[in-house]
Amino acid sequence: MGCDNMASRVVLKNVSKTYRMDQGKRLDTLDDVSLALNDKEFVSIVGPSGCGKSTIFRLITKIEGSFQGEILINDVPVKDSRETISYMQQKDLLMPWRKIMDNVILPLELKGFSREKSQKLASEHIDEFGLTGFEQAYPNQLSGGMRQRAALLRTFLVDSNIMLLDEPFGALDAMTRGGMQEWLLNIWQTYQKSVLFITHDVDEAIFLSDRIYVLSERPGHVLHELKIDFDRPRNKSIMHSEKYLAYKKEISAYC
Amino acid sequence: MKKPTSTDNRRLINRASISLFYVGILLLWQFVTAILETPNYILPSPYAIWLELIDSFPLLLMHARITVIEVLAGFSIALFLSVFLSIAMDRYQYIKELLYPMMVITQTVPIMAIAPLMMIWFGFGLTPKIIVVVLVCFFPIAVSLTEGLSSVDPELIDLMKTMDASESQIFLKCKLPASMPSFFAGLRIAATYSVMGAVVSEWVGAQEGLGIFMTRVMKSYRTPALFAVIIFIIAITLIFVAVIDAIGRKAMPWTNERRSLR
Repeated sequence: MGCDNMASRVVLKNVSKTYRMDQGKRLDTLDDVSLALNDKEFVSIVGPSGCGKSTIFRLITKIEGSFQGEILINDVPVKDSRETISYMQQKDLLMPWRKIMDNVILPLELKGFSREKSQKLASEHIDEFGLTGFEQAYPNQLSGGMRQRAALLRTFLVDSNIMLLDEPFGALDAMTRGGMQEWLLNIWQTYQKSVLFITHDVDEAIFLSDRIYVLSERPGHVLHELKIDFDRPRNKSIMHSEKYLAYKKEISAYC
Repeated sequence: MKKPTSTDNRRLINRASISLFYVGILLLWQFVTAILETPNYILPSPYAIWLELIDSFPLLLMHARITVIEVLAGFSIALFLSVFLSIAMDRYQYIKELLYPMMVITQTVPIMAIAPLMMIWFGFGLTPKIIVVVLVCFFPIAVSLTEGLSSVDPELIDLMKTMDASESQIFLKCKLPASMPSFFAGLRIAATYSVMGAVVSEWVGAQEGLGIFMTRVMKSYRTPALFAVIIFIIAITLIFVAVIDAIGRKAMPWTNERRSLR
């Protein structure tokens, strides 16, 4: 499965998940999913809405406990893992009562860092995340793109090697999204993170990823895995190449 | 920064027209009572009410003092109790299931039924009035805080859990601040209820207070004095609500900053 000899950050082996609903009904969400995220890799999971993509993240972050199969975080079974993973949902989930600076330092604060130390750490990255001048603004004063960047900075400050991003640009308009994608690649390359990225946008997945898993409708299972072989750093011009279209065709065959 | 803009002008015109509207109503009232020569005990003119207000001001102030004491004591006790119980109900589902029905039931019993009972149990002093105020204030505060605490987006709580937040961190950094808008809406309602509750319980029997003063002037057909009492009650309520709003704005600065910086 393309894992080679590289260190694996996240591994799912034959993972299935069933929700028990009222009146004894069962909802099969994931069916025998196997996938891997290697060190410093950018891997996307594409699939239709409601195919259980987000459930994968909820299992990796231990929000959901029970499942069949095996999940390893840095080669440790997920339930024994002490790793605090950077996780970002589709909604920015910024706290409206906190200024941007106080929002982004939340993970540091929860670790027990003092407010001064947290702010000092965060301010080193404010510029990179395009939030200069907005540290003292409240979230409802910011545009969608800026709120998303603030949420990403908060996720980033969790300071894990593993980042799980669940459709972070799903709510943004196409123009804003394009800029954000290039910016995200920059951040990823600078800080050498391992990113697992959920999206339903095929273009986004090809542009960003080293590898892509295509998931089926519910119950989700892996239909196809493909390697995206473009040089880094990438820019949007690759989207006009033959190779790009071939990748797109390959994915479209499955969804 | 202070340059007047067209929206500032419009706001000024709006304000002026609103005050003009109310002054107009008062003038119309004065005019009608003068034309129809209505006797004072049926409908006094605004001017007659004004004279009465000035005349009995020291007396009104004395009675108002008692009512305000009842209101503040009852409100504070209700605030303390409801904050304590709401937090307990939020933390333990069992306590919520145990107490919530009782809270709703106490709310359906009319104050007019409770007030005499309290008088029988606790006499004519301040205690029965304070208890009535506690009873009417408790429910809106407790319900608004309970709802506020459970209004948090569960995904935000999940997110905090992935950041290894403890239960107390989730409560203090997330649930409590998120509940503030709802909490202050409840305090506002409780503030208006509290004055009403105090006045009604004084009707039943008291030595001093705006409620007992009200029944006295009604019995002697001093209608202008009745209106003067009503003005006092309105003023006390409005001041109380304004104080709570001011505290609310201080406590929730993010709700004032709607203006965009985009």
